[in-house]
Amino acid sequence: MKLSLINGSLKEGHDNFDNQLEQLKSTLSQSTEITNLDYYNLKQMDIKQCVGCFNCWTKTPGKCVIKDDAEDILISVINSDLVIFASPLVMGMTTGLMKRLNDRLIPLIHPYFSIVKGEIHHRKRYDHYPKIAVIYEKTPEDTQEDVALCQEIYERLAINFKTTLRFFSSIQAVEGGLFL
Amino acid sequence: MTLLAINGSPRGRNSNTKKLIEYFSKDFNPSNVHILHLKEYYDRKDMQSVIDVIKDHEYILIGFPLYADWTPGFVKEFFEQMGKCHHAFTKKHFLFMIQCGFPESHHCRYVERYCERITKKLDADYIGTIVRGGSEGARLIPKSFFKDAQRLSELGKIFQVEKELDQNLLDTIAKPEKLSKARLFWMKIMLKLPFSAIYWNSQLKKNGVYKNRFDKPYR
Repeated sequence: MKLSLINGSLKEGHDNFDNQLEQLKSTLSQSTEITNLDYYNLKQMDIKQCVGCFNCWTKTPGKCVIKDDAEDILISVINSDLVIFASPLVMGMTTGLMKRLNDRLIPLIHPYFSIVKGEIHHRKRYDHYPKIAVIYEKTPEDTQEDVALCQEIYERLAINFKTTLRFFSSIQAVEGGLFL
Repeated sequence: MTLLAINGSPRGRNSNTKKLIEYFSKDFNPSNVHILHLKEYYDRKDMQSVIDVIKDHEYILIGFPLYADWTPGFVKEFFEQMGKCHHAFTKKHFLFMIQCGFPESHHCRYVERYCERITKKLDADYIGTIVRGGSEGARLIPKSFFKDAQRLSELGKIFQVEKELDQNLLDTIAKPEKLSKARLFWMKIMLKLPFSAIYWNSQLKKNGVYKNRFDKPYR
């Protein structure tokens, strides 16, 4: 299985999350089931905000025109079997840094519309899409409702990225790679 | 009453969100509405200035396009920055405007709930959210052809007096919430016809890449 692990934690206040994710990563890298593990730590990368130019749909089909580190991640994501968005919750959702990366995924889909489960969504561009997973860490301020809404939003995002949400778990729950 | 309208579109001044905010505030006295383009402050790494401007207003509208099922990333980063300013928003009243290119408003309802939650987290008052689907072309369509322009202005007019969003107008502007079975049936047929994608195809052709439209460059 090819895995893309994306860390959206912030520079401040997320050391504990980073340490736990580091442990998880080393457990995963020893797993015989995982043939390839790409790891991206967004806070050390240059990920610009998508500006809605739609050039990835109308000028350079399938390719983002912004030159930064996001393209490497896009290539990894579309060639993976599972992509894990790992992020602490801030104000009840994954980080804005992670969301900036999520926004940059749109070159992977097609501008044309199709009907999915009675709703309009975009069409596929690729034949296969990775399953999506989210690993989060909540703060005492984040309620069960926050966590549930975050999960619902990532379920929506999965529909738009032509896939499903494989799991949505706290980092404690996935330690040791229990999800494999 | 003065209204601070924060345009959270990554397209800044050239955005559908800005257009919808302008329709909403059309009947305001120009001195009573202050529109800020968040992207400009974000690019200068100066979102704190926007928070400082909020401090001078009682009513704050935050508008944004639906990006990958919730706010554009930098709008979430703005919320995070707001979250660091404890007690700064206690007496503020927030309303939101969410628009998307999908014809149904349903897509925006999840992040609408998030907007309500975030307002609670900021210990501020939540007035409501204006949701409009099918808005991708709003900035290009003349006002007289944009069927909800008048309704948005009406909503703004009532808001100025009542300090509330009129529920009937909100519901009408949000239509369709979901596509009816009959409309889905027609959409299924329509989507098979070449003119259904004319908005995209004309741009693909103009750019000379129509034949490349199904490219898979990252595989």
